[in-house]
Amino acid sequence: MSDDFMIRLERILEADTIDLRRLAEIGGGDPASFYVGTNLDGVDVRGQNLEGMKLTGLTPARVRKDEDTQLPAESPLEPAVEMIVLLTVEKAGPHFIQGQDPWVRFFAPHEEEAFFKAMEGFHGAVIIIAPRDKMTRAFSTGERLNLVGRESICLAADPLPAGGRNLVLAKEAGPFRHVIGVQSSIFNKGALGVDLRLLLKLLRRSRHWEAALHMAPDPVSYFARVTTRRSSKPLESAAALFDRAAGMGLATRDCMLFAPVRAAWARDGNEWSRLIRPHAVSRGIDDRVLAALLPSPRTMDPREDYVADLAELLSSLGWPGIGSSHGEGRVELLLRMRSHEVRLPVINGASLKESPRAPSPTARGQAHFGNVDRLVISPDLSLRDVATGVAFRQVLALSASDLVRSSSPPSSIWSLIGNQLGRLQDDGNADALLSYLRLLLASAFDRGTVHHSDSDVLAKIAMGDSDAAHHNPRFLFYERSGDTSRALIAFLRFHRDRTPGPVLLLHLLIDDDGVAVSDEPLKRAETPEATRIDPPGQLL
Amino acid sequence: MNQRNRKRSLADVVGVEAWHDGFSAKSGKAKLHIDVVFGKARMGSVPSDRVQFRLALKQAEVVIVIPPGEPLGVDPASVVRDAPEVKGVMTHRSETENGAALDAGLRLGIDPATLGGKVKLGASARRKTSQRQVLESAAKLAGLEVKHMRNSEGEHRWIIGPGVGALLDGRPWPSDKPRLKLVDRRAASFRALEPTVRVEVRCRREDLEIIDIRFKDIARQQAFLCREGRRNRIAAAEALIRSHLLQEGLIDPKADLSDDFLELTLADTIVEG
Repeated sequence: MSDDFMIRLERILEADTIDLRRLAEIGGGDPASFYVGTNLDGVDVRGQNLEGMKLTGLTPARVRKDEDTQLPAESPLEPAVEMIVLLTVEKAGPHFIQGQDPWVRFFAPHEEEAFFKAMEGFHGAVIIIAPRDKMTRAFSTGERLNLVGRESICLAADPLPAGGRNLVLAKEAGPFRHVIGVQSSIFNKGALGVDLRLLLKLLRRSRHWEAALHMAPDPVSYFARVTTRRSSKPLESAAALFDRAAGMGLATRDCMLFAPVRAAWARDGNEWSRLIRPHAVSRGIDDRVLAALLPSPRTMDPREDYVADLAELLSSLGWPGIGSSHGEGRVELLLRMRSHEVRLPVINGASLKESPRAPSPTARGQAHFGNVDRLVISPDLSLRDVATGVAFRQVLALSASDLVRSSSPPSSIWSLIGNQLGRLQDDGNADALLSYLRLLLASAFDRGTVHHSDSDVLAKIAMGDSDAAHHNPRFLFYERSGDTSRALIAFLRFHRDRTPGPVLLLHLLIDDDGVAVSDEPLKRAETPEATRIDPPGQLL
Repeated sequence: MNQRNRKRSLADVVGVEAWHDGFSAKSGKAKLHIDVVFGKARMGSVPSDRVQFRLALKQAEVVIVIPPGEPLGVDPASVVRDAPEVKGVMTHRSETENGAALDAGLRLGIDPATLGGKVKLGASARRKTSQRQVLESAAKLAGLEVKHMRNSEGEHRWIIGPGVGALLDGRPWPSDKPRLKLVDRRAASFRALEPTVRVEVRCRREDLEIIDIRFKDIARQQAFLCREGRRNRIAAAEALIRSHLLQEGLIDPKADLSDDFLELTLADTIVEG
């Protein structure tokens, strides 16, 4: 790139002004045409005069503005707009409105007048997101809205009894064809704003609201989604959704599924549909997002469905000795590891979080996977809870996603630990990764399989040394073949003054004997022979 | 191959090669093959560049340009018009070979200099191979949507959009299948010199997606991140980069820059006989 261009770029990035007109001039451009084709979502134009500038990427609802802002002459709705959405909830925030889909136009709370103006003569879908009380007072009287016969939805931002932290859909009668109840906390949490937006996209895909909502299994439905890696196998994604639903206390049976568009979904249809059992499948909107509208719970104990479906799937995948049992408040998955029968009780993931009153010996720095003496299964596991469970309770908690990552029955718990490491890569939570890596490092030290030039630093990390808190682990690579998982982790080190230090690279190899750590990529054959960790079945 | 990608800075965003089989002596027809591949480019890799960013395309079109006066035509029956079922296979070479460690390090905002001896580039063939496998298997799933439509000049073109995701990545079609047949309109005895035809890849200004604009210097980047109004500066920087690329790739240098529908030529190539 030419030096002149680079200098102008630097000047813009380090400019003392945020005035768009000034920034264009600093870059040596003509403000009138400088921003053509540039998306301006999220810019701050408070107090700025933008008259005379051609801003093709400016959506008034998606910029920060005030009374002093002078926008270029108002543009009418683009022909591509199929949906107009009024947000009357102040906190809806950028999480909800970000993105640049040409088919939807959002109106911020202070743009109510513009919204009603835009509604005149607009034939697409009209959506109002309002607190329920406001909706009944101002809108449902029909004073301002005459929505009868129109495809319209009101998303009522209001706590519903069965809320949880998930979207709940309730069909109601009224001037609106449909009311979707949304938990009020939704607008404080970015992820839920994303869910709501995703739901709009999915509903739009089916073109007709009513059809979409008819497909929704029950008058009250629940919305769940998982986002997976592009390379994830359909069965892994399905298991993640299955876990998510069970974590909400629901079964995926009879759900309305929005499946990714990837070809792999069609190919591996049998396996995933055996796990999820949807009653209808629609094309999703993304190749990474798997979403479902779930019916209300029907059985007394959704854990029974969870285990029964999982057991059936694992049997069909050729795992021997699979079964399930329930009674006296216990629901268990039975599986066979190296001729031992292991019983995995289903527990509530949150129960791992509470640490026992007296810290166990393993909590004082000696926690590692070798201490594990029980396996449990839980659908709503955060990987942080998994690490806590190992450290404080000597329990390794697994989810359906951990189990189905193995193509064959696990020969030891290490195979499952390798699976969880893979899930950590998807999870992307640095805290959970650090806790989990500590346990892996401690296990490798215990086994004598750390061959690393920085092993003193690794020992400190394993012990939870306070300096180690400045180590920030990132996945660079993960691969699984057979019972062996390989990972490459980078520890980014920050000094106390937050300046970055050298990067520490770590190769991990997990095979059915345990974990090994090295500077160099490890091959299974090179792993030194070490004490075999007995399957927990024997330890029970 | 006569690869005449004239915009070096855009070579990682799109590459195009085109060739045709020999003209049949009897019918005067020749099959035209086009190999086009899209990727995400990292810009600002020269040491003297203080700012780096990544560049990719949201949409592009592949246009067959027959220069005026050339005695060539297109056999309309031969033009591939439907979107093929084939999924694009990315053979994106630039970033995998150097070891994912360094690549990821850059992405995380680590100064490569501080990596020092810790990263052994290309430390092991095993590692490299497996990384490439991962990338390829991921890329095989990403299809591109192709639509054939003649443009206002009557030129045949294929408009390529992302099948999934938001950015173009991979090949829209396999290059071993011809896109269309060229017809030499001259009488057989006058066909001594082969006529020339060009293939261009074009896009509109808003199809250029600029992401991850950042200072290479960590202190500067942190200072930049800490200041109010970052989004405005980023938007202006995107606009600057867009107009810079636009000026590099303009078909008509005297074009009106405020025209929403200006087209850039990202790459072009003379079809090889």
